[in-house]
Amino acid sequence: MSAEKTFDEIAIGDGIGPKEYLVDEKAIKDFVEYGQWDSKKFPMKGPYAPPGFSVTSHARLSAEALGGPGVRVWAKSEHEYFQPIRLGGKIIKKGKIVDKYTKRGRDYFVTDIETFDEKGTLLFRSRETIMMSVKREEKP
Amino acid sequence: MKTKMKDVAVGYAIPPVTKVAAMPEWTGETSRIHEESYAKSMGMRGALLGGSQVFAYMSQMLYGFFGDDWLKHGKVSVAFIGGGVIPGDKVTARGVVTRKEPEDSGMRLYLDIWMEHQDGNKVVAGTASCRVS
Repeated sequence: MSAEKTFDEIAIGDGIGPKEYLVDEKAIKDFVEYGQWDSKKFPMKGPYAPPGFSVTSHARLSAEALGGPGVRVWAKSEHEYFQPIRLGGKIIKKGKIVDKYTKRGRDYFVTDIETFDEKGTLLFRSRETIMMSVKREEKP
Repeated sequence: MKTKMKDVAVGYAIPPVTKVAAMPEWTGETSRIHEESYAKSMGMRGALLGGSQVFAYMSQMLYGFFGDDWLKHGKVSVAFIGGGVIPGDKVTARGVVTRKEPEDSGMRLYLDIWMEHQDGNKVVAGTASCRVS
């Protein structure tokens, strides 16, 4: 992973992705474990990934744009579903930094990430606000 | 007879989902805030669970209520507040229907949603909506 970028080095409009992800059995199994998804109580009714599956890759994807391991915390997020994510295929994620600001000494970045299937159909859209948890004056 | 989704009343509390938070081996996260020692040095109670993991808890509640409609017509907005969730926390996701509006051939239900610790303090607050038939 690249070195962490400074606030000034990250520009509004900087791209995120695109990156492909397999939606295979292993990916779903990992998500079920990660999200403590209760498959008996909440079984999927079709050949679809559970909702929330798509979001798990966003931290790493955004980190690639922001650079370095960093100390980031999700402050808030908005998500919109358009079509289910079908098992057995691939999804493609791409996005960009759409805003950045400093509030009470902390730096924030806002990202838009869209998820498409292999045919280019929009499946899912996210806007996430990421807080860098170390205050500027505390950075080494 | 089972109530149709579009007939659900304003004020209805949807079935909650409770989890005892656990830090999985695989997190998919990259931030040091998920490391115990680092998180404590930053004044946290312990290693914070990833926001996407907490969101997965909320998703179970919303999918459990809306079913497959959620995968096509769901919208959700959440803020992570109150110091976050650490392993061992018992957290409960809750939601209440706040309004209903006709949309296309169905009805969109709007909810206030939140997640609270065992002590009642909120760690997530937001809204969700979904078009139902």
